[in-house]
Amino acid sequence: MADRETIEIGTGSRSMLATTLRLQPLAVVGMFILAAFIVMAILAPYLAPYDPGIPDLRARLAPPVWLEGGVAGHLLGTDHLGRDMLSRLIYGSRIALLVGFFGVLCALAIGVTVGLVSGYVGGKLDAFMMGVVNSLLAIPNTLLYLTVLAVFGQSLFLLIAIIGCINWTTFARVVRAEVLTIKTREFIDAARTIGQRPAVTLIRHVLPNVMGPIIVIATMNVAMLIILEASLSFLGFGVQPPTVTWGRMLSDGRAYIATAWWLAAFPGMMITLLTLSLIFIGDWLRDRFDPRSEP
Amino acid sequence: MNIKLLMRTGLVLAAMALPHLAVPAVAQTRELVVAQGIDTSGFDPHAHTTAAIEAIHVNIFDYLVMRDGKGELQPALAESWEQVSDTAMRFKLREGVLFHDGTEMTAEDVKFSLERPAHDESVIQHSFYDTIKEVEVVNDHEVIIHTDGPDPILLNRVSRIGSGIVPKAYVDKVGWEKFAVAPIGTGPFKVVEWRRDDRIIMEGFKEHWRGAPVWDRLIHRTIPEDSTRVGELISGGVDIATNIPSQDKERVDASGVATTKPWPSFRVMELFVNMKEGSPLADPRVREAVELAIDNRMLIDTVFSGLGTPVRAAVTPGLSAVPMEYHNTFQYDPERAVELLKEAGYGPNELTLKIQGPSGRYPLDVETMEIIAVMLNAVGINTTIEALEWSSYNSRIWTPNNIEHLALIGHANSLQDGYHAVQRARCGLEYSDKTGWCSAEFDELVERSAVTVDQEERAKILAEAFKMLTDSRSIIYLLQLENIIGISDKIEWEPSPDEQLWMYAVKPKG
Amino acid sequence: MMGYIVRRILQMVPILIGITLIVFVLLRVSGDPILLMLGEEATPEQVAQLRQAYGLDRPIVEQYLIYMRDLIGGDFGTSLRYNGQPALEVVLERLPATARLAGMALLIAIAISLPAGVISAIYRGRAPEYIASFFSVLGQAMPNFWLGIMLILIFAIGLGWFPVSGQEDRFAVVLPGLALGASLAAVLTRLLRSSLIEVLNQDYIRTARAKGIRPGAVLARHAMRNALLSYLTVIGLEAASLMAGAVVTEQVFAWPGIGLLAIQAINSRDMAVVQTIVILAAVIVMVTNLVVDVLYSVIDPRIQHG
Repeated sequence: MADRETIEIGTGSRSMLATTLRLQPLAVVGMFILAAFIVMAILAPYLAPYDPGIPDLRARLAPPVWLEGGVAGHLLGTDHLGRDMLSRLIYGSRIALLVGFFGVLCALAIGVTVGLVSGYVGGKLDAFMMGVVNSLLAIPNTLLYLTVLAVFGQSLFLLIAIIGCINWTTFARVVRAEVLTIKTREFIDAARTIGQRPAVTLIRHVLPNVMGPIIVIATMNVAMLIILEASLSFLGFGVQPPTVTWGRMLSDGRAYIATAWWLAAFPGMMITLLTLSLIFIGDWLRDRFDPRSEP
Repeated sequence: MNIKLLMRTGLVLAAMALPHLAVPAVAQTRELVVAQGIDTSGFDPHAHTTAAIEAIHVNIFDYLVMRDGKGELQPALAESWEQVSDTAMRFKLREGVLFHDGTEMTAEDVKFSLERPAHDESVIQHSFYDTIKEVEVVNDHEVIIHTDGPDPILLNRVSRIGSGIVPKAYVDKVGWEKFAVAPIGTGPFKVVEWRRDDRIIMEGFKEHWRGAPVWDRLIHRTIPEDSTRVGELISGGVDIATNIPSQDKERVDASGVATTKPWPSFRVMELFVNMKEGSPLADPRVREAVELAIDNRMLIDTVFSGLGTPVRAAVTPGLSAVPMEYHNTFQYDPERAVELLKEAGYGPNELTLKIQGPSGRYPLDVETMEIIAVMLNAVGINTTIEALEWSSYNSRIWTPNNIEHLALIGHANSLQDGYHAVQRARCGLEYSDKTGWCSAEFDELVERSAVTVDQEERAKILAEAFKMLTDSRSIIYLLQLENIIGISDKIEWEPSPDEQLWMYAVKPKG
Repeated sequence: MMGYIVRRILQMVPILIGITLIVFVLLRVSGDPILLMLGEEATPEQVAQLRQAYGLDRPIVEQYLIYMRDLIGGDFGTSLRYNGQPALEVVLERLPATARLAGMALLIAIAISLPAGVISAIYRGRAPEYIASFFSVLGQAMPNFWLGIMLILIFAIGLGWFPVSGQEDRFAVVLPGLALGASLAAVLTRLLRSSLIEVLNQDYIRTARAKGIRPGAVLARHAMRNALLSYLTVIGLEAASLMAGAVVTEQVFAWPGIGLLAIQAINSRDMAVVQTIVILAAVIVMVTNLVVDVLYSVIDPRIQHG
C-alpha cells in the first residue's frame, strides 16, 4: 500500500515543518532553563562566590540572607559545616548534568540498538536478548557499584557508566514492544517487497515511530539518574566528598529538615527545575519528530 | 474488552491490598519501648563484638560481675570473689538464681558459658577470653577460674560482652543455632519473639533474682533512619531512642514529650599516621606539625556541635589503669606547626597529605575529615580526601595496612582497660603494622603490665607506655565521641556510661 | 502459547545459574565478610581462624561449586550475619513486608496514573493537562526518601494521621506506599498520556471519529488497547525498580522488608543471604515479565509468540 506510505510521509514533512515554525512557549522556557544550567556548569568557577569546599567555621547553618539570622555574603545560607549553599549548588550542576546526560546517552545507545535488533529479527535472538535483559534487572545495582568501588576505587565516570548502562533495559524493552507492533504494519512488508534492506527499513520507518515514547522515557531517565545518585548517597555509597553533588546535599540535608530546611530544599528545587526543563523540551521534541502528530 | 481487563486487574490489586489492612489488637500492659539504629544479629552471646547489640543482650543475660550506674564493678551472679593464687580466682555463686525456663543456675552452667569463648577458636569473642585456661567446678555454687599466667583484668573479662551465663542443659538440647534465635538467660527480661530488623518482644521475668521488673513488656525496635527515630520519640511511639543527631537535640527538648541526656561512649576517634620510610610523616617534626595544626576543640564544636571531649590518648572515664591526664586536653599551635614544617623542609603548600577514612561508619566521619583538611590547609599543608564506604575502606586500606598518610578510625574499648587500649601498638601487631612505629621498650612495658597484679603498680607501668605512644605521634588522637540519648518524660532513668541499655533500672514516673 | 510459556520457564534456569555466578564473583571481589564481622579489632589470627571455620579459605572455584551443589539440593546456605540461620528462612520471613509495600505502591501508582494519563491526553493543551503534568514532574523530581521524610513530618508527626514508622498499625502501609509509588505514578502518567496522544492522532482514529463514533468509544476500543502496551511494559519493568526503591523507603520508615535486609547483607558480604535475595528477585522479575508478554498477546492479537 504504497499510497498510504506516500501520504504518511507527505503529511509528516508538512507537519514537521509546521511544528518547527511554531515554537511552543513551554519548550522555550525549558530550553532557557537547560541552557542556564549548562552555562552554570561550565562557568561554575567564575559564578560561584566561594569555593564550595571551604567551610566558614563561624557561620554554620546560616539561613538564607532574607531570613532572620542570615549572614551577608551567603545568599542562600550555609550548610552544617559553614559552606556556602549557592556555590555548592552551582558546582553541583556539573555532576548532575554529567550523570544525567552521559548516563542516559549510554543507556540509549545500548538499549535502542538492542531493542531494534531484537524486535525486528525476532526468534531465537530475540528470546536470548530478552533473557539477558530480564536477568540483568534482577541483580541489585548497589552490588555492582560496591564491587566497582572495591576493584577500581573512587571514580565518577565509572559511577556514570554503571548507573547509565544499568538502565538500558527500559529502552530496549519499549523499543522492542513498538517494533513488534510496527512489524505487523503493511508498509514494512511493502518495503520488503520493494527490496529495501532491513537496516534501512529499521531506520526509516521503525525509528521515527519509536521516537515518541523513547524521548519521554529518556527525559524522565535524566531526572531519574540524578535522583538515583541521591539515593546512593543516602545509602552511603555514591560520590564522596569533596565532590559536590545535589544528591549528596539532599541526602545530608535530610537530617536537618526540621531545623535547617534550606540544606535540602534548594538542591531539591534545582533537581525539580532541571527535570521540568527536560520534560518541556522532551514534549516539544516528541511533537517535532512524530510524523503523526497534529499540526 | 480492555476496559474490562483493566477493571479486573484493578479489582485484583485492590483485593490484594485489603487483607493487609487488618490489624491484631494489643492488650493493655506496662510496656517500655526502646529504639536503636541497628538490630541484633542473634542471641548467641559469643558471636558479636558490637556494643549496641550487647546493650540488648544485657537485659536477657547476666554476668558474674556487673557494673553499676557509676561504672563500678558489683556482685551479680557471683556473690563474692577472692584471688586464691596468681593464676586462680574463686567465685562464690549466688544461690536460687533461675533461668527463664525455670531451671536453677549452677556452677556447671558457668563453666559451660565461660569455657566456650575460652576454648573455641571459631567463636568471635575468643581473643578476649583466651587467657582463661579452665573453669573448675568446686561445688554447685562455687567455681575457680584458672588463667594462663596472672590476669589482672579477669574481673573486666567476666563483666562484659561474651560473659553472659547460659544454661548448659538447654544449649546441649537445642544447639547454638537454635539458641541464637530463642535464648534463655537469667536476665530480667525473656525473649518472646524476634522479628528481624523490626523488633524484639521481651516480657518481664517475674522470678528474676533481683526481683520482678516493673515492666511487663520490653520492646526493642530497630529504626535505622535518624530522623524517623527522633520522630517516633517525639510522637510518643518509643520511650527511649539512642543516637539522637545533635541538630535535633533542641527539637526533642522543646517537644514536651521527651528530653535528651548526654551519653558518653568509649569510642575515641583517631588518625593513624603512616610513618614508615618514604612517607613525609616519617619525620617526627611533620607529625608534630599535624597534631599542632588540629584544633580539637574547634573540631568538636564545628562537626559535633560541641558534643565530645578532646583527648591525646585512647582514654575515657570508666577505664581501669589509664592515665586520665590525656583526657580533655589537646595541643594546638598553628604557628609552631608552620615553623616545624619549615624546619622539615616544607614551605607553604609544598606538602600534600592524603586523608583516608570511612563514610558513614562513625557519626560525621566525613565531616571530621573535611574539617581536619581545612585545618591542615590553614598551616600550609595541601590535602586530598579519600572517603570510602566502610567495607571498601576496611578491605582496601585498613586491613591490608595500606595507609598512605593519614587514616581515620574509631576505637572503642570493650575490655574497659588501659592494656587493651595500647597493646596492639606492640611490634608486629596491628597498630604497629599500620603506622610503622615499633619500640622494644614499649613492648616490654606493655607485657609487664599484662602480668602485674598490683593495680597501682600496673597503672604506673601503663602510664609510661601511654606516654611513649602519645609522644610518638604514630597515632594522633582526636576526640572521645559523645552520643545523645532521648528519654521520654514519662519514665525515669539515668543512662549508665557504659553504652548499655539495662532497662531493669528504668522506672515509670509518678 | 503453552509451548511459549514452557520455553520461557525453561530459559530461566541458565539465566539463574549465570546470575549466581555473577553475584558470587562480585561479592567475593568486593570485600571480606570475615573482616566485616570482626570490626576494627580483628587480629590476623582470628581472621584466619574464622575464615577456615566458614570454609572461606578454599579456592574460589571450589567454594562456588560447593555452593552450587548445595543450592541444587535445595540448601540456600546459612547466613553469616545472623549466626548461622538458614538463609532461605531469613529471606522468606521478610518477603511479605516488602510485598505489601510494593503492592500498595503499585496500587497507588495505577490509581493515580490511569485517570491522570487519560485526562491529560484528552484535555491536551488545557488546564487539566497542566495540573497533571505539574504533579507528575513533582513526583519524578522528588527522591523517594525525601518524599518519605516529608510525609512523616507532615502527616505523621504534624497531623498524627499515620504512625511514624513500622508496620504494626493498620494504616502504616499508606505513607511508605505513597512515597514509593509516587514516582512510578508520575512516569506512568506521562507515558500513558504520550502513548494515547500518539494513537489518538493516527489516521484510523481520525477516520473513526469522522465516521461519527463517539470519542469515548474510540478511546476505549482503539486508543487504550495500543497505549496499554507501553504502559504494561513499564509496569513489568518497574516491578524490579519498585523493589530497588523499596530499599530506601524501608530504611526511612523502618519497614522490615527485603530491601533493608539486602543492604545489610551486601554491607556485611553475607553471601548466602544476598544470593537468595537475588535469586528470588530474579524469579519474580522473570515471572512478571512473562506475564506481561502473555498479556501483550491477549491485548493485541496481532502480536504472536511463536
